[in-house]
Amino acid sequence: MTGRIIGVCVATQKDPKLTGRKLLVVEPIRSDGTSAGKPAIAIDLVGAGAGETVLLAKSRDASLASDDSPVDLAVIAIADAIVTPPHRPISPAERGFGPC
Amino acid sequence: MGRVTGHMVATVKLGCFRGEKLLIVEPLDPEGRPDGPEVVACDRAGAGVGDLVLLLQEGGSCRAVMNKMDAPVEALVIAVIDRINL
Repeated sequence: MTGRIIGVCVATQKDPKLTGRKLLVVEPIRSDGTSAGKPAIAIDLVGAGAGETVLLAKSRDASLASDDSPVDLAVIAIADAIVTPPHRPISPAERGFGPC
Repeated sequence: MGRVTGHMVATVKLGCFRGEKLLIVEPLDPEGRPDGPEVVACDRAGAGVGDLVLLLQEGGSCRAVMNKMDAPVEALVIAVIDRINL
């Protein structure tokens, strides 16, 4: 899942496992940059900043990546680029679907 | 099952992703229609853009296949599909 950092969340009182961790507001996006859902709070594991496109881990994966912290979204990589060649129509044969 | 639509370049990432190729994959239903939001998958099959691939989307299974039990991987490309006969 990819997302874009749109803000920072500041919390003083928090679970001890979150001490010293940065909390970011992340908007899920598609590979073309359009929004793919509502913004959510993610724990930062790579030092991401506002405006950056990032790779996100969800639920158990997020917890696993952040040393079992109580989180359900984690920033696990900063995407320098998402390369998607221009769309072209794909014929059924090319698609791999066909009669026996 | 899914279609590879692109790839992601990431320099800063968790150590467990070092050396892994990250592919953008659009999941497809058995008829070849888009089925759900695209995922970022690690490549285990040498797939490229445009390829029809087999996706493993269960976290525990992905970690077992990668032999990295701490890797927060969303999906894994485990095969390139040549054709499907229905």
